[in-house]
Amino acid sequence: MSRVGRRIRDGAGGMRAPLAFLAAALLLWQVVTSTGLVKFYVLPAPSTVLAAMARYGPTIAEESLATLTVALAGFGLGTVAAIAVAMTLTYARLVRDAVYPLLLALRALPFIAIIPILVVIMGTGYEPRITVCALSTFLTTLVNLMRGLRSADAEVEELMHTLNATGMQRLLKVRAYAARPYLLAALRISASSCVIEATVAEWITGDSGLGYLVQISGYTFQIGLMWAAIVVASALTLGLVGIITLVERVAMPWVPRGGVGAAAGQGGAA
Amino acid sequence: MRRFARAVPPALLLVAVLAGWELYVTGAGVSSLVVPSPSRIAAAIAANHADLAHHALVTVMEAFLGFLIGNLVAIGCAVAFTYSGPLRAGAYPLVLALQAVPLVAIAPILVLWLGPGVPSKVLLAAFLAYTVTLVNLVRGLASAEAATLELLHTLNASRRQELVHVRFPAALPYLFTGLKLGASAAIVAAIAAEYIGALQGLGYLIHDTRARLDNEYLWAAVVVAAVIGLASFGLVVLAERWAMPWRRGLEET
Repeated sequence: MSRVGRRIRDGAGGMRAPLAFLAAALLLWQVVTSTGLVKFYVLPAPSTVLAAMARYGPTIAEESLATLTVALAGFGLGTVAAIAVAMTLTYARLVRDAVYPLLLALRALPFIAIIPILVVIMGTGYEPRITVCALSTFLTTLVNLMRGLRSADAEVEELMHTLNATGMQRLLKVRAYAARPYLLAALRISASSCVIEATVAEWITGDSGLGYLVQISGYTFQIGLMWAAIVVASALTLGLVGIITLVERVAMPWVPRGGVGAAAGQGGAA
Repeated sequence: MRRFARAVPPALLLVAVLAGWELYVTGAGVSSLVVPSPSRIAAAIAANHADLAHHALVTVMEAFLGFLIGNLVAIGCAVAFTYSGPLRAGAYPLVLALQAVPLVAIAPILVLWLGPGVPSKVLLAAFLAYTVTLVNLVRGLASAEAATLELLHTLNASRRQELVHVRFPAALPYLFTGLKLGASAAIVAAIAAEYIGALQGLGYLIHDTRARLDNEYLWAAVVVAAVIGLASFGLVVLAERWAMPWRRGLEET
């Protein structure tokens, strides 16, 4: 078996116990709901949710695509901007002293609070939704990258200096290398917060997307569909986070599980 | 003095941004319906300060209660996961998965269950604070030095002693990372749940002022939400410095 394959399989091996736990929970859920003790609008049976998924498959797929488009566009824009700004700030000391503390403060803001303002300015289309995702990705990634770029080994930096390396060479060969785990940790967090922000923004714009689907199915009391949309939104997030975690494990097997720098958490960026 | 000197460049930049914004909006005649000037936002805050304070207090209370409950449960669970192998193997990966789930997205379910009052917001805030603290704390408790743990074992220390004297101190930095994220998340949760259905709170106010096209008041509410977000984060940072004086200056963020 290839090294990459083995690493992936190692990750999956530890999933047996939680999967059994999950299966037991689902079974219990199904049994409890079929006794009729719990009202369907409080807790629909897993089978009801599945049935809604099957029945409204095309709708769910369409709205998922809208949410995914928003989340990925914001994610991409925010990441590219963060990398560019982080590289600039590393070398422009004066700019960094003025700008970075403000960016740190911005990161602590509840981003979802500004969505209505963005909607007033940009309308109810994709623009305000992509903007809020991009903004949170940008700030999370930037802060982590700045930390990562600074985490470069001082001795290696000195060696590069002795070797008469240019600033660009030091940036690309030492600092960017040291920053990689920090970058991936930030991307993992941003991936999940992008789906959250896209969903919340869709509640407000009410135009398309899974958040919109959750809202209208709630209003029209189609509880199965509402749960189905939430389950799909969760699956999207898990999928995105899973892809990034996989990249992390394959590309940097020496990094401890869970990554470095940015601590685990979706809230910080949401 | 050095701290003061460091604060000068960002403060100047902030003033410049606000001045530029004010000049642009008034100079170019941008309507308050699109983007109000900082002075009009300030005026809106002054004019509505009693209402803003009321709604802000509701949101802060919901977030704080959720934060408290979530963290207490998380600390209990983290200790249980540290000492029970089967529990850790079965439940902890699910908590990790739960953490990746967009929990805010379940706000509509919670509002449906508990109604538009305060409890649905508290529960969502608790959920979010719970996951971040738990994940960080479990890592922190496991980060205690193996040699120290062995030494305690040799000294016939009880589990409680091990927890109090070795594992908790080692976990403190991790705990505070979780608390910092949890503080922001709790505010986000409260506001998000208020968007879905509420009778008071900043999320309700933001939603309501937008619907009424009262743009200056909307911005005022958002500014207050931003200040609360910053303040809650800042409070945890202060608590961190107080609890771990030896780490002062180590972390810039």
